[in-house]
Amino acid sequence: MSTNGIQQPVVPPSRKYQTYKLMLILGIVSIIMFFAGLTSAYIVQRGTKQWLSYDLPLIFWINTIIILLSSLTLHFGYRAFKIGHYSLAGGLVWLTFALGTLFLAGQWIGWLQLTSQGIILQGTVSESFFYIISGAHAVHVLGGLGALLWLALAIRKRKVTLREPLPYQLVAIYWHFVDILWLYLFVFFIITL
Amino acid sequence: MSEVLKQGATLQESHVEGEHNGHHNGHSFWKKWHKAESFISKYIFSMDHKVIAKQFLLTGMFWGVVGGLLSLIFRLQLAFPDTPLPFLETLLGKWAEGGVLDPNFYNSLITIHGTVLVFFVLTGGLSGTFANLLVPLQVGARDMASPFLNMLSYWTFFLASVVMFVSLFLPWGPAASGWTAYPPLSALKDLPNMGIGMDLWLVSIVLFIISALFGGLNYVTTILNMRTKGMTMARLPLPVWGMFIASVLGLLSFPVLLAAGVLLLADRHLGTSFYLSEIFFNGQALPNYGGSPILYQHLFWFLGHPEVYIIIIPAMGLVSEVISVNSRKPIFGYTAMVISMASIMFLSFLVWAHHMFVSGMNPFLGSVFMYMTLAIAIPSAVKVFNWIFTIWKGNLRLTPAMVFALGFVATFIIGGLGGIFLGNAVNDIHLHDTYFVVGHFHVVMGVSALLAMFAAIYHWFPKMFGRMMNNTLGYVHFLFTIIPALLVFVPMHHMGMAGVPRRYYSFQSFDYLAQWQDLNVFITIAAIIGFSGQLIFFFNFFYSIFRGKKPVSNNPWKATTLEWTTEEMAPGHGNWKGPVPTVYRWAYEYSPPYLKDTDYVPQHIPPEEVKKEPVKIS
Repeated sequence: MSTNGIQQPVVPPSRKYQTYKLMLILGIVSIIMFFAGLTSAYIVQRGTKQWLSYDLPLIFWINTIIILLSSLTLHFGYRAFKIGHYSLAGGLVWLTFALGTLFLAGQWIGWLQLTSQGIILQGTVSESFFYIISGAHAVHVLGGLGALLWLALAIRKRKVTLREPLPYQLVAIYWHFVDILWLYLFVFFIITL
Repeated sequence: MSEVLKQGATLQESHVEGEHNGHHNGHSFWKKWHKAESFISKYIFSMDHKVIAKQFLLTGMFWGVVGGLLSLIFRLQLAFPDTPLPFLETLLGKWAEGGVLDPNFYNSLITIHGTVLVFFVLTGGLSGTFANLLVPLQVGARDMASPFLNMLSYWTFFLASVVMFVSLFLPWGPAASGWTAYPPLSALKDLPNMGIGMDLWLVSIVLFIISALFGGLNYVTTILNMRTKGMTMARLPLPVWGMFIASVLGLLSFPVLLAAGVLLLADRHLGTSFYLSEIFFNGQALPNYGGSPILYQHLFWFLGHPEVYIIIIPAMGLVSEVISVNSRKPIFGYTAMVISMASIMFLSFLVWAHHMFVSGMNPFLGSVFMYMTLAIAIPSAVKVFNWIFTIWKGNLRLTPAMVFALGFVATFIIGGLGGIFLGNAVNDIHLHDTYFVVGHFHVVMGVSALLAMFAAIYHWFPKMFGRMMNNTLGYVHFLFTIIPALLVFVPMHHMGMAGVPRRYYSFQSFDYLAQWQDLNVFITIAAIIGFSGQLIFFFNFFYSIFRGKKPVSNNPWKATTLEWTTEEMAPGHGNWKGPVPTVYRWAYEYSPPYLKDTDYVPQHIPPEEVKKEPVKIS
């Protein structure tokens, strides 16, 4: 078997960013289709009998602000990163990670509050949908948290630097996406519930 | 600013040092991986797209045998419903006590048969194999954009396979909901054969979707971003276009099936009622209220219909290539081929409800879906027209691959015509859930996709294994495939016209169906012959891997595309030992009038060399 070809990298460094960014964006498109499937199913079912409307507890508003803030911290982190302030950038990534964790904890509290109000997963379809859709979003946030944790450690070890900024850019794209996704879902629920 | 510069300088130093130590440079991972290359990294957890292609192929072939055998068992039941067949008890144990097949197990058989053939053989086995093999080689890349994700794609597929295979041996029986897994049947855990088997089925499908998404991400990114110099999109060989369009389709539609599966799992295990409402079970009303089983049908067919194009569009691309090479003519209407594939992709998102004409939908909505469905006949007809005009007055070389490719065109026409009947809502009300549907989709996407897969295997076998398959056995295999296949599925159209319903365990209690008993025996015999014919292929395949003739040259079919320009017949990791070839023209420069000694110009030959003297074939 030949070994010569592999001496050259599979993806040339000059095309690395656009290649992996494209791959990530395609993945994001798939995730969008997943949520489009769920939310369109929700809209279809909305017309049926026994559709329960309810207000979302205040905590979900707070969570929305928290996750929006986390996008800001990650963005400012990237600006620090771009001028070589790695320790500040790393700190802001940690802060983003903390805000993301806070968001998930807030979602958990929100679900508990809803349950205590009698709005339960096993209830009517409108109740179940909220848990399933926000739960599916939480799973995607969890994935983002894993990526943030990895990124924060990699910046601390200076594995991700200006010479190798790609991981930061990719994590940022994904994190902003789960943020915007939540914003969409939240507005969607506010309008339809 | 100075800090930045300092930082940069340190980086520079560490970079140089890194080069020295062989660490920290962009592809050190590859070097390490390569050093550590052992049997495991080379053949099992390989990141080489060609090895992954072979893994997909072998797994697909394994499932082809399993799926085929399952169909023979239920065909025996349909042919001899009253006769106990004692060997079935030996084979299936408690599922065929006294040699009589258990009706619930019959349902499991048709479910697993459909699932594994649609997903594991014709999606994983067909496009998994040939997208992996051909995309990097034909676009001129050293590997996929992310070889790691590619490996992950195969191993998720493998895991899906394992889960499905384990479910076959459960004492509670494998899933019995039909491959479409319609609720309420699939949402109720307490029905026979609908317990853990159904859960494992769902888990397996979820894993398969993830695998297909990983694969699709890689194929699309590789095609868009890693083409060699000169390889514009308009110069891509049609197999690559087919894989590209099918992958985009998969990326957009598989997630919706995932959503459907998540809701179904929730209904089964979390007590939700997305698909359930007002169900009486064992004389008791279930608490579930407010859901709708029709919702599942919408979500399912939003993937389910594109899925048949995810299967057939790569098949179309592969066949276009084989036909053009072996007709020694450029593909007729290259642009029309691409546009028709793209429009099939676009339309396939707008036709899903033609599977649901009898679900009580608004007739106006039905007619919209009907027109969209019939509109797909236009691009399909364009493609058929182009294949026929590629063959027209061509210098045909009837290699086994070519014969299979022509078989694909024939069965695609036959099956496609049946689709025009079914696409009409009015006809469909009569034909829905009859054997007409079974006959139709088996011919148009089962047999024809399988023929395309065989064509591709015979054609690219030398590229995969460095040896040729035996031609004589190939022709015999073809006859033992297409004749039995048509004998099996064409009569089913007639049965369906007469109203024979599909998925029935036995027709004994219906007088009006008694007349079809002889035909059922006939079909079963044809199916057994057709299945046995595949043994010829398996022998040829495995024998040729080790003992097949060596190809006479590195380009045995005299094709223009880049995969035949590698130094080695079965290239190693990295594909080209030297630099990746540059591309100067499209992929179909066959028999241009300006050539004298030869009849084709490969894509990588610079124009000046062509003018000076016609390309010589070593």
